[in-house]
Amino acid sequence: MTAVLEAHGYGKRYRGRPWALRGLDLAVPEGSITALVGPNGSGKSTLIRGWIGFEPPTEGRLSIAGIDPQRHRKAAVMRSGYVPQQPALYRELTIAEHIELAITFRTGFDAPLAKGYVERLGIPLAAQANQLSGGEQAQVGLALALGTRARILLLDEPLASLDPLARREFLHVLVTAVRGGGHTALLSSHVITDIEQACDRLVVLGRGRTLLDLSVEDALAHHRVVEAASWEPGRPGTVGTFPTTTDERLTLVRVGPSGDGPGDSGSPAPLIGRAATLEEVVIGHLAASRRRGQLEADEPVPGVAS
Amino acid sequence: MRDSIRLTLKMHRFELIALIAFTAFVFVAAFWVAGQLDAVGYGPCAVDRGPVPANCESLGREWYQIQESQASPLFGFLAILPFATGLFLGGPLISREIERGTTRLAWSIAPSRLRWYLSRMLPIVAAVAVVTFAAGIAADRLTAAISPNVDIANAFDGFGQRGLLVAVTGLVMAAGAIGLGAVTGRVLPTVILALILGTLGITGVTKLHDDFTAGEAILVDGEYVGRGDRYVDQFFRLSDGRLVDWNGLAEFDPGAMMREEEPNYPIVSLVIPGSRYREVETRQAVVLGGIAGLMLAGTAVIVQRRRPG
Amino acid sequence: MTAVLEATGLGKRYGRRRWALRDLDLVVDEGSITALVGPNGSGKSTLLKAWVGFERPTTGTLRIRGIDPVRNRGAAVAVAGYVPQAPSLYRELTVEDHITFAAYHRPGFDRALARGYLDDLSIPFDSRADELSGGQQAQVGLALALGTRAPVLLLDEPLASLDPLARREFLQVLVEAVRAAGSTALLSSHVITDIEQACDSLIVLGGGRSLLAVSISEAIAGHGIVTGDEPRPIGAQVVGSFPSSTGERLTLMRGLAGRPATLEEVVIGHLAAGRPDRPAKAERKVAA
Repeated sequence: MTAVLEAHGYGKRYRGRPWALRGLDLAVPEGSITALVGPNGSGKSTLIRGWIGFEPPTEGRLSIAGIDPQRHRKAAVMRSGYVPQQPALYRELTIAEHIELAITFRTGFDAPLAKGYVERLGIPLAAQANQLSGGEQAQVGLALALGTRARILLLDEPLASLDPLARREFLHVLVTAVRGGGHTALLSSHVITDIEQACDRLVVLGRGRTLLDLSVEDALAHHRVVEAASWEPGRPGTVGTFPTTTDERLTLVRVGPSGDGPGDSGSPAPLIGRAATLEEVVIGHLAASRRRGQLEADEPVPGVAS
Repeated sequence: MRDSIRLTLKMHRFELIALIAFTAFVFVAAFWVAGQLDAVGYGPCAVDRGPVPANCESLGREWYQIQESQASPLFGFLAILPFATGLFLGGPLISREIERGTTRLAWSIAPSRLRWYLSRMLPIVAAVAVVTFAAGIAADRLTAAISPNVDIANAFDGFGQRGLLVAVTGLVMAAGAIGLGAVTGRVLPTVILALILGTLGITGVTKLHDDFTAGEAILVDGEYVGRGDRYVDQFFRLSDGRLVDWNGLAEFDPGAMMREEEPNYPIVSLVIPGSRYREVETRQAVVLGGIAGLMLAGTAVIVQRRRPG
Repeated sequence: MTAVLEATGLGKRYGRRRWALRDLDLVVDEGSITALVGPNGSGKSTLLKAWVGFERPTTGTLRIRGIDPVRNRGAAVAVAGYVPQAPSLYRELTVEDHITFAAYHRPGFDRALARGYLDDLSIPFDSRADELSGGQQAQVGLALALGTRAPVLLLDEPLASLDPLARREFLQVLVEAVRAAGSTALLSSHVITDIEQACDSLIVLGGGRSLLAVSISEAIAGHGIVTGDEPRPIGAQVVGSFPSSTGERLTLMRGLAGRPATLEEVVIGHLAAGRPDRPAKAERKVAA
């Protein structure tokens, strides 16, 4: 299994601000569709932009298809298809003109392929970008990325403004294109049901660190959810507590191998509570990470009387 | 009410601080330079006739040097100030809210858009008035210093670039920029359009008023220079009492221009006497001020009708 | 059940040809938390804005607690707590400033209530809006709307671009507040799991029209999914077809047919029906 996207001790900090990411180690295997989840400001966009050479690391290094995107930016860009977060289209240009632009910027750009995706989604080529809805603009962004025929696709919140049907179709197109061509895709998203449907791996970031990096299958197999009221806070395996829209609060518990939870080292996961949904797995880890951050902020500085 | 004023000013904090700081600098500098000019003591030298002190040449050099190197640039800044103040405080008032989407919050919280508009507009217009009024005072002071022996309260020197009209210019620019901002909903196009249209508009209105005022001119003996009058026209008086211009004089006495000395006919000027300065200034201020008021009222209507963007 | 939000024959046209809403009839009952789902450009935002007078209808009428926002906009705004699509806060103003602003402009604004919600979430009052995270900004928007104590809450994509935890917290505050006050809420959202958690009713828009307007329990009970070319029961009504994540073709049916549909599938099926000529083409090309 080759890793096409790697991070080694990657850290990024903007001047005068806290570290966006620190000490990050990550390896995305070839052929996978990996989801990147985390609060805004957790560094998802920064990391994705780092792989195409837009953001130089403050510490550590990144690699894309074995290339250092800082040293060989052109090669890094050529090997990747990128869909940015805010649709970065030119307001007054038509979609057809965007495709013409892409041809001039990118050798090997497959205009008929891109046009096909756009037309299939019902978007008129003669429409100006600022006449399209936000969701339609995002779909144009994807068409342009797919048109590059790059083997590594980096998508920064591509589904953010799409309705459920459009997301289903987008992911269907993405999954078919990726699996059919042996490509690799990394997409950041906030919608976990989509991730369950399309992705085989899940990476959760929080407070600049990796909270979770495993297959979707393992994530589901190794987490359970219990009522917070009936769970002692310090018990091994506790991940985090989060609210629901009913009056109860729930606690996410890690079970099975590679956790400190009950049922460690090979014994079957005990059936405490109920199986966690993938969304609850993510929410529980995010809640825990935020709680850790609050505790760190509240901690008194040693030697200073409070 | 105080909170509302505080919040509005906070929303424009950068522009306010920058413009107030710049105006304060120009204000202090103008008074200082005016003091320097007065201190030279060039006054007695600047007379049309009569004896002048012996050292006028050197005094003159010193005086003109200060005027050119210090007063002149300050006049430049003072000319820009009302335009900059009006544009940069008025331009973003509504357009930035539309651009950034905060109108959707404000207009869904406040049932009365008119009240919202007044709460945003009045403090900013007041700020423009105060800043530009200060600039007007500084310009008055500096004008007095470069026109020794002229009572500038009764002279048309520097008309429109000093005193009350500086504040009115600022208000017209602000009102126009606020209104354009409500129409376009985008900050940069608003500032550009307001600059162009405002400048053209103010120039146009000023020209119209000048033409109108010229109709009120009176005849006085002698050249107009040095009395603070506003020049309209100048004639020669013939022996039979008729008034002719240069062309008329050439017809009547063809040799008049050929001779070496000046034509020996009395000069009569058609002027607006300097004593009418305040009156003309006030009249122009009222016209421009009325236009500003109409624009502000029109903006209230636009705000009621437009989408929040 | 009293209807607090109504639209009758509502149409909105932009420019000369683009109809965002077309002949829309809908009703939202008092006390419900209703979800509004639909593609971008289906008029969800326009509809929400129309009730607070931000958009004037081209055709038809609408009412909010019996008030016509076209004739009486001030009164309509006064009964609505509107949460605009982000971003909508004043960047340079603090959270406290926003509360002061709302209290000044809105008769009857309850400062303590708004503050209480933000305090519970430990959102710092002296932070500028642009220093807050997206989730915190959304909570401020919600707190301001709740502080108006309006009987009707209209929320325009409040959860967009929020991470799962932030969304969960937002919904928890919303649901609790609405239940406590007995108010009514209509929110547009793209995320079905959120809708399942917070809402009791659902409206699906497509092509400017209402495609489905039911309670969520009816939606789930009343639809089934047939996979691929399975035989369809006689008399069952086809809604629409769409791809599954594994590439098979799923068909949503009305009534007892196939296996029970998930809420997501109900929504997707109706959305697919709402734009008839697209799904077939998409499947054919992609399968190639």
